[in-house]
Amino acid sequence: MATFEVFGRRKWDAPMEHVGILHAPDAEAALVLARETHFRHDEGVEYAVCPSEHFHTQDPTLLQRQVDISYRLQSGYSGFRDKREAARQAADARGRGDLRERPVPRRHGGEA
Amino acid sequence: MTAVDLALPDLSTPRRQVLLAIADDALISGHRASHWTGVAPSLEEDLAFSTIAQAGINHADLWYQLVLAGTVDDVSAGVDALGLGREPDAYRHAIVCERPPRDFAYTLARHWVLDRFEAVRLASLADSTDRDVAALSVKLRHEHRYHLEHAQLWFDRLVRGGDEPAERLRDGLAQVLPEALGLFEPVEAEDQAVADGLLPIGHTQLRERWLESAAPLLEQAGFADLVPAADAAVPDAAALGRRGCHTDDFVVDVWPEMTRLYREHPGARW
Repeated sequence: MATFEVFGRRKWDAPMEHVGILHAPDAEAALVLARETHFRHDEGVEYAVCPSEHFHTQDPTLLQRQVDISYRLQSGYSGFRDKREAARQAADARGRGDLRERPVPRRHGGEA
Repeated sequence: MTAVDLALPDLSTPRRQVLLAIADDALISGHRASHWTGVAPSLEEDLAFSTIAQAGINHADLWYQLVLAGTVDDVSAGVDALGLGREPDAYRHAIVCERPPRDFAYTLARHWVLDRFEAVRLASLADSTDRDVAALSVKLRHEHRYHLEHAQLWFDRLVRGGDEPAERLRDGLAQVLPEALGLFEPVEAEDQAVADGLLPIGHTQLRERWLESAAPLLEQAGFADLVPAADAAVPDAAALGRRGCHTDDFVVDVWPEMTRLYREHPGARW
């Protein structure tokens, strides 16, 4: 028995997405069995199987960051409003009221 | 006897005899297939076989609806009354359908034989002059494709799988094939159903077509000796199912279990 990765498309204009695995002796049997293992409740319009051994898997340690990359992440900018307010107050305290007049860039459609 | 106050139509008309035989084959073989739910050889196979069992019962439901065809107000109760409310001798399925699952090899052999039969029967019914029957047959042929693919997959694998798998398939086929001839027994009013155009062909021609479809596959697999002769008779033990004669496999095994809830709770809906 081999393990197969099963992919399915929910609609014709949707991409193939991974839906799970199954065990079968070969691809022909996997295709027959995948229908009932993963698509018995009308989960999609088309499916495909691929032997798991044909997956080229990257060494997972490559995804473990050693340095702070929060500047690249949306989460790195959380609490921006408070930080901005703190910066204004610090500017006022230093007598740099002109900084206050600088228009704050706003995202299209509302507050950042 | 029906458990609810429901007047079923006269089931002895040629059309209803023919449709009941088709529906009962599906119901009883589907019920037997459901015995594998939870105990099939693998999770994947369990799901596949359960679907095949459910499809049999679903198809029976659709054929029963054609049997009723506007004669009862409550179609759902009417279908239950047909499927679960008749006495054992009113069922018209072939005896091969009521046999217990035995082992998985026997089950697969029967699955393969029944599906090849059903494919030929549905193909012929697609030419019925009864438009409802023709339309349902076309729809079910499409559904049935999965059953055929699944059965053929296992058949090929067991044949190529070495001595033991091929031998066990052979044993299963040797039990199924003679009894499967009971599938071709005509209902009493078959001649009239053929004359009416409801049945495009009679049982003799249907059996010839089935042999043409099954024999080459059996021969290629090394089972030429198991191909039933064109004039082989139905063994007594598997005869007269179409006339309502059934074995203990049905009368004391399938029927009491299948109909118990219906009989104990008259009028229940689910």
